[in-house]
Amino acid sequence: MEVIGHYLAYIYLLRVPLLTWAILFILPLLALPKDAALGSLLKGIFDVGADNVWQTALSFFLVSTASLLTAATIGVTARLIVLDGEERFGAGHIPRRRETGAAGIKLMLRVIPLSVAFPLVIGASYQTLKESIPSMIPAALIGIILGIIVFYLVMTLLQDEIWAKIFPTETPYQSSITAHLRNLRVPFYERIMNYFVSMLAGVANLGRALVSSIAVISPHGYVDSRTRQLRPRHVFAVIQFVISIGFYIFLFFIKKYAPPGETTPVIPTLCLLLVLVMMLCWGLSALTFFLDRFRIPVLAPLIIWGWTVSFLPQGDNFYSSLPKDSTTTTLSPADVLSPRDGKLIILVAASGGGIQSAAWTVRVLSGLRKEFEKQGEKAAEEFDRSIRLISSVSGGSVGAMYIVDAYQSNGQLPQVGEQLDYYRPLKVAEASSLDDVAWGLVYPDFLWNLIPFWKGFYLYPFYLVNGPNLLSDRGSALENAWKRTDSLATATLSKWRPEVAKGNKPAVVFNATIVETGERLLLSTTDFGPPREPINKITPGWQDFSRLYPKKDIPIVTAARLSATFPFVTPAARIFLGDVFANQYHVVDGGYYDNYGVATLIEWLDQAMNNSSSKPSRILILQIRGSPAGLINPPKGDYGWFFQATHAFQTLENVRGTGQFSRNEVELKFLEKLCTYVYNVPCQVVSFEYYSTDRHSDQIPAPLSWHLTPYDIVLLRQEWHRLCPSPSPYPLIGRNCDKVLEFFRQ
Amino acid sequence: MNPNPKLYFYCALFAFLAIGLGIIMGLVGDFGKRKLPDGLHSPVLAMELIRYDGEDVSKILGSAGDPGDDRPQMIRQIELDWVLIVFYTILFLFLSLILYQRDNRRLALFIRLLVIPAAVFDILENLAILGLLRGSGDIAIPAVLLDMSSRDSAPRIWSLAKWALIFLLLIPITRIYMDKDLPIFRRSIGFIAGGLGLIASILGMCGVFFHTDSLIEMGANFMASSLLVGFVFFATHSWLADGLLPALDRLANQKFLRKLTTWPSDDEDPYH
Repeated sequence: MEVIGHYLAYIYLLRVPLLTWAILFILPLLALPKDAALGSLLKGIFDVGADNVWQTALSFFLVSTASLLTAATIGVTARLIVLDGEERFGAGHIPRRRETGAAGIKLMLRVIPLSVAFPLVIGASYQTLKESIPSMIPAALIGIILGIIVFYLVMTLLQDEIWAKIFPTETPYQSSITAHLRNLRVPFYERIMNYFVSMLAGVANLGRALVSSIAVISPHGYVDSRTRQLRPRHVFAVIQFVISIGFYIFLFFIKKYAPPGETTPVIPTLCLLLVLVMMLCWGLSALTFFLDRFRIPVLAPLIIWGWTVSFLPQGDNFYSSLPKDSTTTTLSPADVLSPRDGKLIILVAASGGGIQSAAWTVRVLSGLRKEFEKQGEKAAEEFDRSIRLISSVSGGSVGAMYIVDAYQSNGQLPQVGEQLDYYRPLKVAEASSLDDVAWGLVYPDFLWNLIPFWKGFYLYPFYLVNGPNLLSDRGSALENAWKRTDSLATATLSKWRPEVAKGNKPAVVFNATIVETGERLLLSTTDFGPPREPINKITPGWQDFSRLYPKKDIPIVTAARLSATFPFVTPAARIFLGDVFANQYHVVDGGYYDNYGVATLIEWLDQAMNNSSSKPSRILILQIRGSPAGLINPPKGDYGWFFQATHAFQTLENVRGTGQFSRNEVELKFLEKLCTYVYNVPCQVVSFEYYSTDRHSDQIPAPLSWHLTPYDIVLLRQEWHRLCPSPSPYPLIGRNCDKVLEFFRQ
Repeated sequence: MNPNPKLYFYCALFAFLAIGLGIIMGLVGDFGKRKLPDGLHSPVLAMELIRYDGEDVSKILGSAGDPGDDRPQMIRQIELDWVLIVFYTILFLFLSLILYQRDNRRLALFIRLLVIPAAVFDILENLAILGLLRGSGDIAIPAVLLDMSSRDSAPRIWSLAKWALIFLLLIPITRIYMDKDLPIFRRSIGFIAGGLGLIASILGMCGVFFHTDSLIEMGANFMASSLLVGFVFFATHSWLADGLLPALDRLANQKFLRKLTTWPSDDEDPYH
C-alpha cells in the first residue's frame, strides 16, 4: 500500500495539468450533444465558422494551433512533475534510461496530452461545418493541416534554434528539418530566424535566470546535483513558455487592430479561451511545482493574492462617463407623449435573454414594420412614430439600442423591403460579440488581475492611479464590439434626447440593477419623476442615472452594456468620475430586478399620464420576450446533503423568473383597468414570445452567450414566421401580428 | 488450465459490438422528454416494464399520430435490439467457455443454462412490445407471433424474467474478472469490472423482486459500466500480460510511435 500511495501521489501532484486536460477533453461533450448540460452556454464557442473560406481556414488554423500548444503545455508541465517528482516531492520512482517502462512513460507523456487537441478540433469542425456550405470543408481542412504543420515546426525547428542561441557553445542537437533548412542557407530564412529567434532567446534567457533564482531557494528537482545547473528539461519548459507568450501576444495584436463590424470574428472565441487555459496551466503548474514540496496548497497563495489586491481600488471594474452637455434639457415622460396627443402610441417592453433577445427584439419590431410597409409607406411611418418608449433589459437592451439607433432624422426607420433577414439593424443585432468578451477576459482582465497595481498608471498624460486604462476590461471590449454603426460610436443618452423630444426617436430606458441597494438603475433618454429624498430611507425601487449623476452623461453602448451585465460574462462596474478611490454604486444586469422591463414601463406610463394635459387615443403595450416565461419545471431527482446545501440558490434563481413574470402579469391586468377607469384611454397588451420547440414540443434551449449559430438564426426566423406567417386567404389561425395591425385600424 | 487467449479476444470483440450497438441505439433514439412511470428515465425500459394497471403507451411514447409520436422510434430500437440479443448471448457463451477452460465447469454450465432462456425472454419481450405498437409502423413480424407473446401481463412478465436471469448471470462472471494472480494493473481493471457487475446484480435483483423499476434501471446502468470496463479487461489480456510498464514499452517501440517517443525532445538527450 505504501508503494501504491507513492504513485497515487502523482495524481495530486499532477492535478493542474490533469484537470486542464480533463476539462478540455470533456468540454465538447458538455457543449455539443443535443441535450448537453452546458449546451446553451458553450455551443457558440465551438462555432468558429465564417462567411468566407479564407477566414474559415484562418479560424481553424488558429484553433488547431492553440489546441496543440495547450496540449504541449500540459505535456511539458506534466513531464517536469513526473520526472522530478521523486526528488522534489518524495513521490514514487519513475523508470529512467534503460529501466523497464521508461520508453512507455515517455510515450504517454506525449500521447495523452496531445490527445486533448482531437476532441477540441473535431468538436469545432462538427459544430461549424454541419451548418455551413460545403466549400468550407476544404478550407477547414487546410486550416487544420496548416495548424499541425506550424505546431510541428514550432516544437522542432523553433525550439532547436532558440536552444542553439541560448547554448551556442554546446554541440547543438538539431532535428532533421532544422538541419535541412540550415543547409539550404536561404538568406531570408537566416535573417528572419536570426531576428525572431534572438528575441525569443533573449526572453527565454531572462526566464531561465528567473527560474534559476527561484531554484536557489529550493533547488530540489530544479537543479542537476552534478552540474549545479538548471536541468535542461526546465530550460526546455522555459523556452516553450516563451513560445506560448509569443502566441499570446501575437493574438493580442491581431485582435486589437482588427476592424469592428458585423462580420465573423478574426480570432475564434475557442482559440482565445484555449490561450487563457494555456497561460493558467503554466502559472498554476509552476506554483504547484514550487509549493507542493512544502505542502502548501496552491489555493492559499491565490486566496491571499486575491484578498490583498481587493484592497486596491484599481482592481475594480469601471464604466466610462462623459461630462453632460450644458444645453441638455429635462425631458419628462409627459413631454415624450405630447407630440402624440390624440394619436395612438406603442410602448415596448423588451426582455432579457442574451443575444437571442437582442435579435428577437429587432426582428419583431422590424418584422412588424415590414407588415405595415405592405399597407403603404404612410402606415409604416405611423408605426415608427407611434413607438414612444422601449423599456429594455439585458439582451433586449442591445436590440433596443440597434433599433433606436436606426431611426433616421425624419423619425422613420429605414425601409425593410422584401428581405427582412438582410435588414441592417437585424444583421448587426445578430452579429457575434462572444470573441470580444473572450478577448477582454484573456487580455485586459487577466493581466490586470495579475498586476492590479499597474492598472490606472499611465505615462502620457501622466496618471498614477486614475489613468484611462482603468476602463479597459471585457465590458469595454463588448462596448467596442457593439459600435457597429457610425452613429453608435458617438451616441450618448443626452445626444439622443433632442430627437426623442422632437418625436424622431422613441424614448428608451435601459434597465440595470444597483448591487448595493437592489434598486433598478434607469439609464434613460427621459427623466423620471422626483428623485428619492436623502432623508427618505424607503426606496421607490429605482434610481434615475440622470439624477444620480446630474452632471454626467454616458455612451449608449455603455448603457446597453450595463443593462446586459450577465453574471461573470461582464463584470459588475462602477462609474469612474476621475477618482478611483471614490466609492460608487456597482451596476449589474437589469434582469435581477425585472427581466421583462414591465415594471419600468408601467411607472413611466403612469408618470406620463399623471403629468400631461394631452393624452394619446389608445395605448398598445408590446411585450417582446426572447425566451419563454412562466414555464413550470417538472420535479427532479435531487436528493441528499448537496441538494440541502444548494437549494437556497436554486430557489432564489427560480423565484426570480416565476415571481417577476407572475407579478408583471398582475400589474399589466391592473394597468388595463387603470387605463380604462383612470386614464380613460384604452390599453391593450400584445406579446411576442420566442418559443421554439422540437417535434416533441420540448423547448429548444436558447443560447446564453453573445453568439448565435446559423441554426439559431434559422430558428429565430422560423419563430417569427410562426407568429406572423404570410396572410392566407383562408385564415384558420389568427396571426399574432394581426393584433398590432388591427390596433391601428380601430 | 489456462483458457485459450483467443477466447479473450472474442469476448472483447463481442463486448465492443454490444457497447457500440448500445451507443448507436442511444444516438438514433430521439425520444421526447416525458415523465416516465416509476421514476424511469429510459423510454425503452419503460416500455419493457409497462404495467397494465392504468398505464398507457401514450404516456411513454406520446399520442399516436402526433408529430411527437415516438412509436416509430421504439420500433427502430427493437430492430436494433434483435442484434443486441445475438451479441450478448454470444458474449455470455464465450465467457462460459473461459470459465470452462479454467475448470469452473459448474459455473460455465450455469451461465449456459441461464443465457439461453434470458435471450428467449428478451425475444418474447420484444414481440410483446411490437404487439402493443401494432399499426404504428412497419412491423415485419407475423401477427401470430405477436399474439403468442402478448399475454395480459406482457411485456412486463417477459422483461422481469429476462432481467432476473441477466442480473443473476453477472455473479458467476465476476469469477473471471477477479483473479488474484494477474499483474496489478490488470487485476485492478478486473476488480472494477467485477465490482460494478456485482453492484449491478444486487441492485437489479432487488428491483426485480421488489418490483422497483428504477432499481432495475440503476442495475442496468451499472451493468453497462461493468461491460465497458470488462471490454478493457478482455482487450488488454495479452497486452497487459506482463504488467503495464512492459506493455507501454512495447507500444513505444512500435514503428510510428517510436518517433513520437523522442519528439520533440528525448529526456536522455544532452540538452532536453
